[in-house]
Amino acid sequence: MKLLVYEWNGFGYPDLKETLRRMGHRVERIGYVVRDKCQDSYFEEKLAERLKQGFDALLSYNFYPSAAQCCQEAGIPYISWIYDGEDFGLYCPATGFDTSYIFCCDSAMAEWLKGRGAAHAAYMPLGVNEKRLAGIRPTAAERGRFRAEVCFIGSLYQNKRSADEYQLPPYYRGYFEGMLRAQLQICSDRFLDELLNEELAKLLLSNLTIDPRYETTERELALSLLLTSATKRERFVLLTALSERFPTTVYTFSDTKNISGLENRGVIDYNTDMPKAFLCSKINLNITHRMIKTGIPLRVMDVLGAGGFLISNYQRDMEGEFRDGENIVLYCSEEELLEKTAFYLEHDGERARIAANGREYVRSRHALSRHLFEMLGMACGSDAAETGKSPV
Amino acid sequence: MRSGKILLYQTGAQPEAVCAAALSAAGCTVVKFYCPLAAAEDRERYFPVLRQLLREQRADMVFAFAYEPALSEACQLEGVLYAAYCINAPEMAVIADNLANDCNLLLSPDTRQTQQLLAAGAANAAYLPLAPVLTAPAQQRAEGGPDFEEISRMGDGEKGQFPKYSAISFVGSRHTDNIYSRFSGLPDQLRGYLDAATSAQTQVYGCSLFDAMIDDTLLDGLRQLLPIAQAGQDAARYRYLLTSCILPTQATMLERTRSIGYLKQEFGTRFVWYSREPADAGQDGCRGPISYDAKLAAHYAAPYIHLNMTNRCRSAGVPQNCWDILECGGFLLSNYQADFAGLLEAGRDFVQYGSGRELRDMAEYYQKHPDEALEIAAHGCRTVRENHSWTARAAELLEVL
Repeated sequence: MKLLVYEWNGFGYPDLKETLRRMGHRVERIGYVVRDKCQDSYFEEKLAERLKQGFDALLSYNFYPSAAQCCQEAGIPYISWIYDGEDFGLYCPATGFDTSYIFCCDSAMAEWLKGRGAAHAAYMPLGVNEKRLAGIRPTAAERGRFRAEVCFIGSLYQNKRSADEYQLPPYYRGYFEGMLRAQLQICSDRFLDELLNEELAKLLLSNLTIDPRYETTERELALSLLLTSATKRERFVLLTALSERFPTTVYTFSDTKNISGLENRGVIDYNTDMPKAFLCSKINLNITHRMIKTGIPLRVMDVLGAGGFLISNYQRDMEGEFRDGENIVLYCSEEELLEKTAFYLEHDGERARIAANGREYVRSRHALSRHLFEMLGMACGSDAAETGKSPV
Repeated sequence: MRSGKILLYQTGAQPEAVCAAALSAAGCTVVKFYCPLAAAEDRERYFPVLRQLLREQRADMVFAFAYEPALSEACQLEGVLYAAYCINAPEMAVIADNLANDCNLLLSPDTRQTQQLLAAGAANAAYLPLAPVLTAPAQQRAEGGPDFEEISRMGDGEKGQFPKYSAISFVGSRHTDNIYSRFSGLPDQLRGYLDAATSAQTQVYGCSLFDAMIDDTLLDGLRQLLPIAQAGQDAARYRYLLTSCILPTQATMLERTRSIGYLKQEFGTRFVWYSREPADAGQDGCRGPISYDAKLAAHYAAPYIHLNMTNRCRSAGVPQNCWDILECGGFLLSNYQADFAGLLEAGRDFVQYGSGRELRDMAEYYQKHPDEALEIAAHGCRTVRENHSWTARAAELLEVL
């Protein structure tokens, strides 16, 4: 097939393109960072022009309504693979186009989209470029450089807009704090949705203007702010607790000076260095962004695919995929996280066994090629998904 | 202890008579007695009488379905074992002054509460599940059990009944008039925080959020603002009362109110609700109280979806009504409780939900699949009758002793 990849500045595009090529498809790219997620006329014009060259499908990570519009007009499938917990493009009506095929790494998000009329929304876990990862071998110097006891790679979201910034009347300030504190106790499920009432939602949004082009509600936007607050709070609390007990390293552009025991090594390259950091850390940590309600985040696949040992919060979509203590280690509370971190730091053999199982499972069951084959089959027809063939 | 003489202190608890009968059948001599001990003047008056009784009777054990501190004191002085089966939710035994008396054996139908009793200083505490008190209506008993064949043949409107498993029943009160609802003088921010905590608890089964959410600083502030007489100056007692009694009861009220409202809306007249709480009368179709006797047993035997929403003060244990429903042949839909594991099998003996959404989904599902509900009800009834009688519990109790 002849495929066009819309590339913005997100992770994963080199692997995506390389894998598609390895599958035998002809892959071209169009690179652009949209200014307005809902509609970007300049981008639409350029993309429409490009699509006239004859492609079987357009692919992107996350959903871009402008891209969906162009594909709808051109009559070709637009395959978007959602890997962020929050994608405002999904609030646009373009999700309902016949040509929009939206694959979500979060089954709850897929159900939500279907409920909104996105006929081609489906759950699809994320994948790894198993070929590239198999070739990652840190040198002795790199093993020294990336060595860590406990390692977390990710943002602490201090600069992201969240509900913490807003002035609330005393009752709702207390209610807000109570909600977050309660949610922090339970790492395996999300119930903030049920606790958010209409009054609090209105208060949280009182300083914002909702763009009418996005078909969303006050409640959904307020929830988004709330979930970012919860993630900020959770990552701060857990990393603080860990750093008080264990040597803990983070790779992040976030300011971590408020967590005194943490070693911050700054940003890290996703493709070249991050897998090595995973391999050279005794324990890698995943704390899922609360916007991802049930799904398995990309970080989990990144760590396991690289061969790293991972402790992660439980997410419902892990059922049937991962087994606690076999190919991953899961925690449901802060206490459990601390206990398991202490245990696995002292049990090298167990870590090695679980990491090896995780690596084998992710590289086979969640190889990018496997998922891409399935997505192309659903969007373009099963015959078309095979190497070198075009859809009828 | 295989047999012996047991002095049974009568509290009027529902399992008392059937447990006494089981202990007698096991070879024990059971002597029932009562003296008022609740009020200070009663204790003063009857304590010497109680000690005299213990000396005269020379019993191996005093047994009660409650923890009475005065009983413990008398037993301690007379060197008699006191087995207190703490079946209340909330359970005040945890804050008793003389819990550490070495004559005490505290029994609890809740594994978490058993741990609380030990943490509070009980020298001996053991877990002992409850068992059915109600039995299936006499006719069914005579015929060997609920007539599941008959139930399976019930059609639309036959005998004035609902089609089998098309209706849902709840027996219990909402606890609208609870201590938390009467709290006044709380600053708005604190009220908001506690409201969030109790609302959050309604979303979570299998663990309590309250302990972690009430840190020592907050606790000290609350003790100043809202003193609780039973806690006195003791911070640990205050914490227990707040996090294991007061806040869970408020969470129970919120959860039951929400669920009852939904059930009334969805099921209409096919939502059957009995409550003895005056505030519930006439609300959401409440039919008022139902007496704990053959009438309730017949109700539990009817082919409804019998819903259990455990009082949140009972954090892990299987409550009495679950046992009664199953023994009577009812189909049980219950919230998750940790102590079901090892006693009953979810999906075979009963069905359980872990969220409000699951409750709704399951109620809808079993309405549409009455034959499955019937099969589960039959299996649950067999399991309880074969493995969970007071005869079995009496044997377990004597084994513990």
